[in-house]
Amino acid sequence: MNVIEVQGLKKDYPLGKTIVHALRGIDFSVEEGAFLSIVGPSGSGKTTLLNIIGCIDHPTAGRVRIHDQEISELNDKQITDLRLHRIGFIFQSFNLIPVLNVWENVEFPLLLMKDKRKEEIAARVERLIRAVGLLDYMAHKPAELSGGQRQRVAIARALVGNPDIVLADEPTANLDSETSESILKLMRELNEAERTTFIFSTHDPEVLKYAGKIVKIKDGMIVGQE
Amino acid sequence: MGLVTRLSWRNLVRQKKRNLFLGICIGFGMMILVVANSFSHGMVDVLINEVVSYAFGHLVVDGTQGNSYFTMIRDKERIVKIIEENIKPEDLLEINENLGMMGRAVGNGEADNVVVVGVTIEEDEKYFFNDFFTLLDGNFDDYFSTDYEYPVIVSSAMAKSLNVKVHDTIKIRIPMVTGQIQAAKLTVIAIADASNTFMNMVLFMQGYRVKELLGYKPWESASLQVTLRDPLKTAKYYADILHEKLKPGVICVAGKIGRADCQLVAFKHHDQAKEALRAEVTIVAGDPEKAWEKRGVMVSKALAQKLGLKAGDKFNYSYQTKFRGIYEEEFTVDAIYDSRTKLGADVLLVNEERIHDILNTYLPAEFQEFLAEDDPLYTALATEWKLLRRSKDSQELEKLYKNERKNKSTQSRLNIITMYEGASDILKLEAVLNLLTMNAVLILFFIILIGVVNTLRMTIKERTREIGTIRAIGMQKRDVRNVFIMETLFLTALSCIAGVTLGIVVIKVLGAFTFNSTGALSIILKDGRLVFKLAPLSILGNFLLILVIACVTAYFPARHAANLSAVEALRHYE
Repeated sequence: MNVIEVQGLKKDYPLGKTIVHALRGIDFSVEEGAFLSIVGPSGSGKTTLLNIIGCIDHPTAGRVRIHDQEISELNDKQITDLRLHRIGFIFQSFNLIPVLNVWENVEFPLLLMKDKRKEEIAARVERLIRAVGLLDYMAHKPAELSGGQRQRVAIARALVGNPDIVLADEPTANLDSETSESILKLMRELNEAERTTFIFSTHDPEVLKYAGKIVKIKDGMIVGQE
Repeated sequence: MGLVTRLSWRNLVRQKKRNLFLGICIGFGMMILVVANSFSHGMVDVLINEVVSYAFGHLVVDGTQGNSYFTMIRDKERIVKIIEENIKPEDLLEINENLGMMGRAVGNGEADNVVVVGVTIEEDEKYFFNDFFTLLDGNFDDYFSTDYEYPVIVSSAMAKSLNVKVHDTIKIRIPMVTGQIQAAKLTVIAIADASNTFMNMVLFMQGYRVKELLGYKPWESASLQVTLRDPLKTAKYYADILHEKLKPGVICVAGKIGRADCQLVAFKHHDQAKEALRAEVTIVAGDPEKAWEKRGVMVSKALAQKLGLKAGDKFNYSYQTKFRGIYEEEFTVDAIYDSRTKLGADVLLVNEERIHDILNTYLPAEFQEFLAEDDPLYTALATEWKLLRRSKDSQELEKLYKNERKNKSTQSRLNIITMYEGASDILKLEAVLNLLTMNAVLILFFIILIGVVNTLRMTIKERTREIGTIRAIGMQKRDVRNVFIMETLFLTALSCIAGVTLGIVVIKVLGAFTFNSTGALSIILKDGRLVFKLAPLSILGNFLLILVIACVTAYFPARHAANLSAVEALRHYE
């Protein structure tokens, strides 16, 4: 079953007096539980594609369906709700909330959902923090953690709401190779354990060995799938 | 703690220096507001409680007559009884006569204008003056002494001005109720420092002695000051009740002409009243024109027949007075009338202007009920006194008295005034002061809040990526907006609370200083100290207003933050 379907996706940016064609017509689909990597050089349109799939950016043309829901039909509130309940984000620069500690950062999406009981939240947060191996750092603020630890917190936060899809934009770009490997392993383990669809972008060939499926993108177009 | 609240609080604490600086500014503004507000309340409190309530009373039953500036209630006992019967004992503290008159005093080679004020104090209340004066020389106990001719307490300022010491004599010339000038010698029995500057020119003397000086009879009184336990709550309420209860009855005095009983009834000396009476009364003998004139006297046909009186005859009418035995007055029959109304009985019908002075001076033992208020003739007949309509404020009161003084009638007037109407100008002063303070502080706060807006804009710029992150994770626009508004509210509220606390400390400190001022400042001093009175409700109102202003000010930058595109915000780099 396809969790994401993308058809004829185009995205143009105005840049001064010229128009940058970031995506020139992308068609692809992602099956539930996939561990998919979008590969391409810098400026190829990977981040733009992930942003549109993650409903934080709008396409110039084309359609994106998530679980058969046409995104363009939703208003801002519904799209925000969709992001909260169905999509998890892992950012290249971790993007943790600096004033919240590890526990609170992970707990954040669950509190936004407003329908979870305290015990349920506590149990889920603890399980994810344990899963990313940060139980001893629960009270630490992001500034007190290493880059790898911060990305683990980001992974836990992305997964805590039990989303259908986790989008990771160059999740290892700011990490050393050893930490990158551990992060990718962790993502893969969680993908298998939680049956969550993972889509991550990278331009690092080393990362590709962990991918279940690879979509190659260049100049805003898909140039190959493996 | 909710997520929005927690985020707001943590963000507030995160930028300590910047928020501390802003907080100090807001707190300082609030402190000024508290101090200024308490000062204006304190000042008015001093003026009301130390000056107005003593000079004016919480509630005053004021009696006047003709164009005299003297206040005069002819039957004190009767009015006091009505007051006591209609004000609950638990609300009524005391009823005093407002005895005071300005005069010219001469001491040892020096002269000055003084106000002689009568304060009736029993010997068991001899510590009364300690509340208002600090005794410098002499003895307050001599106030009750009969060894001295008119013993008076003099302020140190006045003693200096008149160059007098204790036991020295002050000669005084003072107008009397009769219009004559009274000359008297007063003996200084105490010299004291007054607690406020208004008392500097006052010479205090026992009430009965001042009455004697001013020419009041023992049963007469100047205006009556009623002191209430809680004037703010009850003064207007009781004033309205007393106004109702002091409605006068028609003048009807039972008396005798020779051995025959009769009733003296007075009619009003204005055209409308006379017209109404002419419809009910037919002149059967005598001079109709003279009969309706200012000194007109008419005898009913029944009474004339009984006494064998004809027009032009003179006769003596006598009645029992309340304090002076039998009083007899000679009248001439101007006309004999017939009437099918009650006036047709043994009635002597007299123009009010002929009789007011007599009745004022020789109060009848009793006024009889003659007509009910709903009787058509009621408005044509003169009443014992004229009850003035209630005034809303001091301007209206002044206008009312001005108009009444133009009226040449000899009928006495009664008026019921509370200090809130009589001294409404002073109360307005408080409102004006508060308004001025509030305006100044609002300007201050607007300037501060411009700082808040700028800080918020800076904060939002610094946190743009965070905003992008929380929007991407799934926080709704409304919650993002609320995070920033609440952060501003926290800052404002905490600063205001600190400002109020600091304001209270400043008030205590300023209130502890003693000023030796005899100038304009002394008006608002109590025992040489500035008086501050905290007004919690007013401060709470200002506090809420400032929170609302902060909320409105923060709203627009916060909305801007909430409307940021998540993807643009995530791309933002400082």
